[in-house]
Amino acid sequence: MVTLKQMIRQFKQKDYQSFDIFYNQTKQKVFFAVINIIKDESLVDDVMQETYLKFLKNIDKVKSDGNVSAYLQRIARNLAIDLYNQRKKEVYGNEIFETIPAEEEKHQEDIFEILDMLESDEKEVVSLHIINDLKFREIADMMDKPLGTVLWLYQKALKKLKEKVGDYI
Amino acid sequence: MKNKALKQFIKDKANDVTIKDFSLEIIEKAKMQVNEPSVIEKQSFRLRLKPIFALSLALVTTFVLAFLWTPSLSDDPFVIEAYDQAMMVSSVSMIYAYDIEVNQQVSLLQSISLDSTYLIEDQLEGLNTYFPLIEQFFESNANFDKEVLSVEGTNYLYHLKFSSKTSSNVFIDYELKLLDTVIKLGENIIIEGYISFSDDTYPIIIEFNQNQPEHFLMTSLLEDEQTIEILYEKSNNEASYRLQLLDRDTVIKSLMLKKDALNQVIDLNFEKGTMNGTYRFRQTEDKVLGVSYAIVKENISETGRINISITPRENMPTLYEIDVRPQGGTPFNREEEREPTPPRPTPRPTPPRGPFSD
Repeated sequence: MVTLKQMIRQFKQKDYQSFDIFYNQTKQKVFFAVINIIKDESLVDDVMQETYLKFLKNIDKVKSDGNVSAYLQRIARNLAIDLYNQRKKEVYGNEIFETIPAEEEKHQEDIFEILDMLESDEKEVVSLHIINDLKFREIADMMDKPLGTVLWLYQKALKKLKEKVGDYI
Repeated sequence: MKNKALKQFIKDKANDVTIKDFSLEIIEKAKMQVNEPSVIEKQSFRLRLKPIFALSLALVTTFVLAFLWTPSLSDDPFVIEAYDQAMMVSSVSMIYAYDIEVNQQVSLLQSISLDSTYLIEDQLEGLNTYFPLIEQFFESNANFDKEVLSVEGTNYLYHLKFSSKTSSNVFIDYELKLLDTVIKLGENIIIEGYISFSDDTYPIIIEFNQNQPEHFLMTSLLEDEQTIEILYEKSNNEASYRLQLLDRDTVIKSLMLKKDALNQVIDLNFEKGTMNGTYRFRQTEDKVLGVSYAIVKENISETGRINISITPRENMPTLYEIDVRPQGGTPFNREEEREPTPPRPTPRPTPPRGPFSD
């Protein structure tokens, strides 16, 4: 099985035979780095593709022993923010964040509905830490916020989630 | 409900999401990508500290914190006590003052010259960086001045300004600010703050367990993916400071300083790759330090003794005369000079006396 280091080396030589493996290993984290900023599904798709293209374009700068996932997420987030700023307003799609389910439907909630119970920053911290496995320090760096703020947002978010979905776990 | 269960629930829900596979499209586009000029990514704010510079700064801050730390967590956890730690503030400030040379000389600790007969020969030039620090540890009066500034109308819990004097009577001013947002995660307390000197300000993060307030971890984020962690631990008569410069999770440099107040000894330990040097300093008489050392490099080890005579000189670098006696080897002598090169020092015609000076 090809390792991440080997894949990066291959990409540097413009050999993309393992790219599908790499993509499938990392796509969830890229997706969740974007989805809390750009909520329209088609735009998310675009940003995801742009993220990987930019990653491949700058592959010579990537250290094979560095945190490639964090680097990808940073690219994705920056692209999403750029797109968001271009549009000057948050774009809501009608497929993902349409409604918040009623109380009795909570057991059917999907991840987007759960995250949507949180404020924007809380949502991002929870996604990046719990789903994307980034350390708080990395999140603080990525979001350009003090570590303490990130921890505070996380703590606040967990408290909210416990209150809202805790009974159904 | 436990956090663990909630986190697993969120992870499971995230795993339920089907994410489209664009890998083929991306490869096609990647192959078609022309050699456009690279886009320079907007850089987020990062500290631009040289690693050793930062290491010194972090050490200074930790000593400041150690000075402020108290074993009880009352409404104000930063009651100024711990009188003896004041010496450390001044002492570590010395390291800072010598920063540029530390940066050059610590690298010498990391290599062994093939021409050297003894391991200690390769370490001496780097080791002398720490002589002023060790010397200050043994001094009975601390050359520093401090001022607690008002935090009224600010979001600070604590604001301290202090000055440290080098052996060449150069003063360096520092400010320490701790934010009033104290974060509690379970039994862990997290406090953010800043240390400033001249026009530069650096963020710090302090973490400790409320049941062990005399132990804390201080972290500074550096440029790229480097961080500095300092673990301070105090027990009875011993205070230790373990510094680690990390590149992500990899330790690049490691340094341990331990002060045993009861036996009046100071241990200094370096780790770098496969090299490890341990030095135990005692003040044998005024301006004379006795050192026992043990150096290990791979399968080579060496022990011995060093006597260091210190001669401060007016308008000149302090002179260190070093008499080295490797065990089972031939004694030899060296002379070293240390000249402070503090960044943007604050010159003062008359050194003020600090509240803890004799």
